[in-house]
Amino acid sequence: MKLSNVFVVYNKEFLDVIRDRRTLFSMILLPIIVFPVMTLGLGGVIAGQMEKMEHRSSPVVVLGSSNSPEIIAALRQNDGLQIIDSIHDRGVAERMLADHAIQAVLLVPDHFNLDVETSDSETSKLSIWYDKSDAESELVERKLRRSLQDFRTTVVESALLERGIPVELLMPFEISSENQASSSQMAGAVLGMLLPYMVILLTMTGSTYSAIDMTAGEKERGTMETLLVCPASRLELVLGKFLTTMTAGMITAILAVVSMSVTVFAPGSMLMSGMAGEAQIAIDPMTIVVAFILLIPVAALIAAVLIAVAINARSYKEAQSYVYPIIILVIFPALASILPGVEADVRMAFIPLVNVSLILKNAFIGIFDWHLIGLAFFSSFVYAAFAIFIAVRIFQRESVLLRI
Amino acid sequence: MITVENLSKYFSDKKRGVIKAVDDVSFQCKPGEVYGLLGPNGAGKTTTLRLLSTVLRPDSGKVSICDYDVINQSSEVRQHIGFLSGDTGLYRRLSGREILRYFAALYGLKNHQFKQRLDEIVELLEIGSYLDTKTDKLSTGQKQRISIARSVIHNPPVLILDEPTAGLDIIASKSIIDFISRARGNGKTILFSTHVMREAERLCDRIGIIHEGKIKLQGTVSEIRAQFTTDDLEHIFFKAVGMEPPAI
Repeated sequence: MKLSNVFVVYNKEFLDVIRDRRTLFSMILLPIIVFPVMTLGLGGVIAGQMEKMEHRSSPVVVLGSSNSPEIIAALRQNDGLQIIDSIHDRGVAERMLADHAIQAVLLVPDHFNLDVETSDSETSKLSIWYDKSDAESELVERKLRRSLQDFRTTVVESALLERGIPVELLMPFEISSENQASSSQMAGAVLGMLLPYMVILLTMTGSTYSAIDMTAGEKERGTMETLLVCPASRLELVLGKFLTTMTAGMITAILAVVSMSVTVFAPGSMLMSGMAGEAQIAIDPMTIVVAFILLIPVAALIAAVLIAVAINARSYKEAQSYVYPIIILVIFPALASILPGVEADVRMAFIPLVNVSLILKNAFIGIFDWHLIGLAFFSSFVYAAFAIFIAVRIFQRESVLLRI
Repeated sequence: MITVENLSKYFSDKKRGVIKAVDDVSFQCKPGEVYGLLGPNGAGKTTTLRLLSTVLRPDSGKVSICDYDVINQSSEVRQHIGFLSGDTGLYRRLSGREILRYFAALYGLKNHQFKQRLDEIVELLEIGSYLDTKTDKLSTGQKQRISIARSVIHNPPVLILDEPTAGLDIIASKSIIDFISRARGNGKTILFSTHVMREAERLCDRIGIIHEGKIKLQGTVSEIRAQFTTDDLEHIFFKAVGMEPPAI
């Protein structure tokens, strides 16, 4: 094998790739914009929407309002609820709820009785109807429940006072929880869940177009045969194409890591304001080193598989339909970082993509198990080498190359 | 020099069983000679040329090109041939110069050798004015000239041309025909396939009529005409493959 031929192919393919707008989009633009759009854009919209709902006065129909003027009075204290007591028909209330004209219905039974000694299970039961498929209705249910619980506490306290029993009796001890994780650890936990998945997926999307273009695309355009009659061996051709695809995947992954870090730490990011307050967040530089070390075999494995699959197709379109199932095959193992309870161990270190996903997740919370990192790195390279071997074999099949 | 002896290639097809795409084909083509493989679509022309250019592997028979064996010395064979077909494509995002530099490097030309050879080719094929234009902006004829340049960038002694004029208009075809004539004058060994009788008549020193994978007839154009008592190559073709010529 002549290495110079591999680099001749690589240089030409890379030049071709960076002149292709489709590849440029998926390789460079997509990884840069996806995180800001996701967290700042979409995240901001969701956060704004939630805040608006929280402060909005939502209409709630109270059926049987005359059964307990005290409850109506208590609920009217809550600015977030707009109490409607003029509707008395169950059917009308149900329809209004179904039409989203109101967000909840509170049912106060006849003979509602606040006195524990004289009420029974029927006359002391309040029911809330709401629509769990509607986020706002769910929120209003919580507001209603909170107001009613507050009111219940007041009723209990005044009953105890009347009987001369100290209110503190209700609360013999207090429970307090304290979060011991630093804000940096919490940021790491969130990043560690999201980043491996996103990076693996983007590596895939970044290398897909170039892999298809250099294989099925080359057949479709009628340039494959001229390449096959030049003295470069099939191995040299495959390696040149593989390295180009891998480079495209690596560029995408690196841009994704950089873009995500910048986005996450940007002021006003929903991710951060939601969980870590205004804390200063610092990622261990070793995390970035581990991420880059592990991205190399990930990009290699994905590139080799893509080349081996896309070369079987006769046209660009056919190749795309072969590649879609692979995207799904990549998504599932990449999701390992998001699944609760799945942890990196020696067994997992041998499962392609799952290993990198889990080890990266650990790296973001400051766990660096070099033994596992080494195992994952080498096992991924062995899988990638095997996929390249298969790709070279396929490249030697006449029927695949010449559509016979 | 091309020597083909008892060359065969079979394909297996789920519906049709084993197909003899090339069946016991033998011929020879010497330097300074144009040998034309003449036959209809599906006759086995393309498969024969692919076997010669090492893209396909023969099932039996022997092929040597410039005394190199296509099976055991395929890399040397590829180094000595220039291959061009009618549906050869170009990298559309690259310019002619970039494509030529790419193939020159794959054929092992050093930078100064490439520059020298490029100057010769640019002059010969008159491609200088659009050499730095991306090929998707070129006309069909211009693309075809770049393709020719690509096939001879390493100055090969043997040219294998698979229906090089297929799908081209008369002006683009002319550039190919002129190129073949010139190459013959320069002592190249040229194997050329076509289904166009007139092209074969005008260009070829010797012709092999191929049908259903077999060479039915071969010789110089005048030898063939003498055998059939007619000048019309089309009539000769039909008779050679055992069919009645068209009435009109």
